[in-house]
Amino acid sequence: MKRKLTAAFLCLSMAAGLALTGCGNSSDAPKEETPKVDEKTAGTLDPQEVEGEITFTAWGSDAELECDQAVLDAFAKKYPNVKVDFEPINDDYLTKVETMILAGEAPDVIYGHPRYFQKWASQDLLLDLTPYFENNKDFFNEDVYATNIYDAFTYDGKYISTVNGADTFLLFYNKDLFDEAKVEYPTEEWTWDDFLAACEKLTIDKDGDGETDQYAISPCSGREQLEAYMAAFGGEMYDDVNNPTEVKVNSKENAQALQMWHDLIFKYGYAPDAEGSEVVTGGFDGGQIAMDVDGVYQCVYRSGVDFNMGLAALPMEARNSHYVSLMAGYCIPKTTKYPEAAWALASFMQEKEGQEILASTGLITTVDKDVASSDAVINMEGAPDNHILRVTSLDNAVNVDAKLPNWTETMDMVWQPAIDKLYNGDVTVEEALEEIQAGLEEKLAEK
Amino acid sequence: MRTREKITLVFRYLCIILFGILIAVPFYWMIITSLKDPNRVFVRPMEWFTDKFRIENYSALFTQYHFEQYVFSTVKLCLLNVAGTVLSCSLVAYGFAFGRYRHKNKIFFIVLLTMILPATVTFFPQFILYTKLGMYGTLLPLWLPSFFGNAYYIFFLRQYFLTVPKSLMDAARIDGCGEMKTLLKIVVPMAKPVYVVMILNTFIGVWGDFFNQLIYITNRENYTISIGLTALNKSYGHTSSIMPTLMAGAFIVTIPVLIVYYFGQRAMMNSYVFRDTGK
Amino acid sequence: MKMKRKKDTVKFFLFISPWIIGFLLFILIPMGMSLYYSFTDWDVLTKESFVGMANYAGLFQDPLFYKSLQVTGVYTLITVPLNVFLSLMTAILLNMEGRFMAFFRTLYYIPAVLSAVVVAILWQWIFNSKYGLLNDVLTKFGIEGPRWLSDPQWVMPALVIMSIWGIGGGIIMYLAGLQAVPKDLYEAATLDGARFWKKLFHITIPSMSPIILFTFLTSLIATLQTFSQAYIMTSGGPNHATLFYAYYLYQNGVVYKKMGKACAMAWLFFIAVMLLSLVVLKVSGKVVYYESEEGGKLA
Repeated sequence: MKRKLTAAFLCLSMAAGLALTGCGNSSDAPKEETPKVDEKTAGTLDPQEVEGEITFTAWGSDAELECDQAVLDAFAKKYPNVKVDFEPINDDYLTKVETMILAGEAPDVIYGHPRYFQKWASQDLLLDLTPYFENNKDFFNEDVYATNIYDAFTYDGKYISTVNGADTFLLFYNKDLFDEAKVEYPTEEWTWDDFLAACEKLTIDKDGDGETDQYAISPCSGREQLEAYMAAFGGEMYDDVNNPTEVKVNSKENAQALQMWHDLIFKYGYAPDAEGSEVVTGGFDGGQIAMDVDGVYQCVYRSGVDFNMGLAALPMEARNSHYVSLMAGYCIPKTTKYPEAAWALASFMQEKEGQEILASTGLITTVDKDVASSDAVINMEGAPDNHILRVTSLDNAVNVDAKLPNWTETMDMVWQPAIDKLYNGDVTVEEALEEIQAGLEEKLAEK
Repeated sequence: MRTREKITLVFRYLCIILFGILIAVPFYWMIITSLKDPNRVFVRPMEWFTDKFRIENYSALFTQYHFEQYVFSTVKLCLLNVAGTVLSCSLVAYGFAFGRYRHKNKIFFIVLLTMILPATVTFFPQFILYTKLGMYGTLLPLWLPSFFGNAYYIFFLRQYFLTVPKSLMDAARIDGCGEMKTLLKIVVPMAKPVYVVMILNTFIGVWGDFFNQLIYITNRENYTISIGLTALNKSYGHTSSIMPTLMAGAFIVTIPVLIVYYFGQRAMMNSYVFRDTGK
Repeated sequence: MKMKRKKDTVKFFLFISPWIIGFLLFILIPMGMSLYYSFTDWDVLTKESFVGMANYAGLFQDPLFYKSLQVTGVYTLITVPLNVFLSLMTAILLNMEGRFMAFFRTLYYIPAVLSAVVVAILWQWIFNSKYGLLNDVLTKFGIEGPRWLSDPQWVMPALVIMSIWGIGGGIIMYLAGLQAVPKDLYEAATLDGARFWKKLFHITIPSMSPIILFTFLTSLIATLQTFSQAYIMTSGGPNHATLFYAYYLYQNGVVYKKMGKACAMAWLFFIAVMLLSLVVLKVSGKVVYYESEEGGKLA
């Protein structure tokens, strides 16, 4: 009797399950609903003629979201017949947006990093924006836009998003602490020896109890921060992050970089060791650590610190020393019912008016070079010294993410465990790099 | 014998107090942190007392972080779940206890099987199901299932219902009570302890639920306490200044549950939870 | 007679209809779907294609799959018996009258009442190697505390400590069960000269064995599905030292969108849990004592 029951149970569930998987799969959505894109006229409509109701998603702190809303208000004035429904998403952005797509309720304009767009493009989910760009050649004006970063936003030769901007990872330093320790500020020519000498003077045991009270630099164990070190030494992960064919992570330069990072914490003690310690004592923001390598978007959060701040670069001694940058843009899913309206919004973000508003918080170095280096932005309230470095560094910056659909998984499975082991002293720098090299090659071959 | 009893008693109390201290210490740390100035939270060695009680840590929750909204949403969910569970489990347990059907016990066996069904197996497809039914983004997935019964409570309730003396049932039948009346007036009161446990556990479960809320809640308006606290920890997590407020939130959130539990456990300690039919 | 039987049947199904609908909607159908998807390569956003046993085969070649089995297995093997034992002992300790007993019982229950988020955040800071409470206390005894959450060797012990803190949940069940043990049995035993341990092993534990079995089994199944600690505190690290099965499943399904693989993992887990439960129930059949004849039968 029990056997019959279990058999019936299994059959029932299979049948029910099969029935359900068949219905409502998002990719079976009737395609006739989405209007066809006419290549010749894409993106050329007069703003008064563009109409539609579109959904826009983005993430951000309250300040950033206010900024986005300001852009939307300006957009509404230019395009009075387009209604935008702004849906901010702050947790698990990627997952939530993908769930919306799954539920058949994909947004029309999605803010994101190129690595999201790469993934979606490989799944054939995004609208090909090439015709729109072709009809709006202003965006290719090299005098206005930093077109050298456009490559990250293409897939298979097609444009898949508009560009918001790119933030490089730079060295933040506390001018007051430097003054107190009588150390000269970092310059463009400073070397790693200069750097270490400065660190020594900036690591201070204030009350003589054997415990360091002030550190020279924060641990910087995040992936992007480590990539910044590697880039400063001239090392790379791949031959071309926008078209990786060869893994180059196991190199002399990267070994030097990782060793330097490791030594700063464990050999010299210039950087604190405990997990979250910089959080605890207030870290750089609290005036307890003299330097920090971080994305320049931190300017937003650090505008209120009670010390004088400056921007510099890690020593760039190698021939191939460069920066790494984190980019962002706006893509449009294929399923959008109002491609013209969606393009209007996505492109507005890249037009002067939108860029000016976006740059006003210091959050992003806009792709519009004039706006990015304008007085209003560079000399905004709370801006650090040498703020212009955020713009000039872009000329020599490489995307911090490789253009691979399985990038997130690769970093979780290959990079992080090896770095954990390195941090814990279980492997040497050489062994860690070998492991990463092998892992990256495996993942590269997978896709 | 007297001295031995006294020694045992003292020993017992000592153990209770000692373990009690160990258990209480993290909780105490939570409370004291919530009252401290942010800069004094992580000094070494740790400060076990604080001379000032910073009320701002608590008020910030409401002025800055909309905490009352989170509490409201969570309470809503708790009440819905409690109502659903009580209603559905009562009906179903009654059916299994007093219903007459040839294969009744075999169906009940399946109910029991679902007790050991791991949530891991059903979670994903449930998620997909809700999405395809258009319920993603609403609070429905977080309370609708409770209206369809819960195997544990169905089991316990049924055990209790079965202890109702047949004479009582027959008397009610003779008096002309229909099924619903019998259920409400006679059977339910006999199972009071189970209802206490049911309401208690359901309330506490929803109040502290994390995973389901994480997956299904998307808009700020629907944020519950768990999600609100997580967001607080994440977004401001890179400065320790949020610690006291975070702990304040955690503490506030714990109080109602403790009160509910305190009274509930007293009600429960006075009755059997497990009855055997022999007595 | 036939009319009455029909009426009875209808009434019966009417009463249990909520459960039946729920069972179909929230259990059967999802299980069927997950079984189906386990044989495909669905990535959530595009159409899936049938791949047969590839997901299952792939799992058996995935070193992380084995790692997750090991992590979950070791953790469960340690914490479940330990916590059942500890909560039983503590319940006995707390099972007495006294002015402060209600207070103490509530105190012990506090950890079980805190939401998973609060517990995780709290202990994350307690375990902080430089500024955390635990290492601070250890320093007072002259011991230098380890890097609890960053050292693969210590992260598991850290989680075990955390789980012990939460035994209050089990205590409440045992307290209730202790109340049900007939007092006259204890009296008789005391008259016969039995001491504490004898009474414990010959009266208390046998009388409580149904409850112990119940909590053991539910605790076992719940612990096998440990997730929140990995998600909130460690992200499965360091170096996969806390890559719990449920967490790895979540990563595969929700983060990497390898739905097929995740569903395969779910079904393997389901089969394992069913088998395990059967084993436990069979073994317990010989050990558990039911006072009434009906107790041992499930239906």
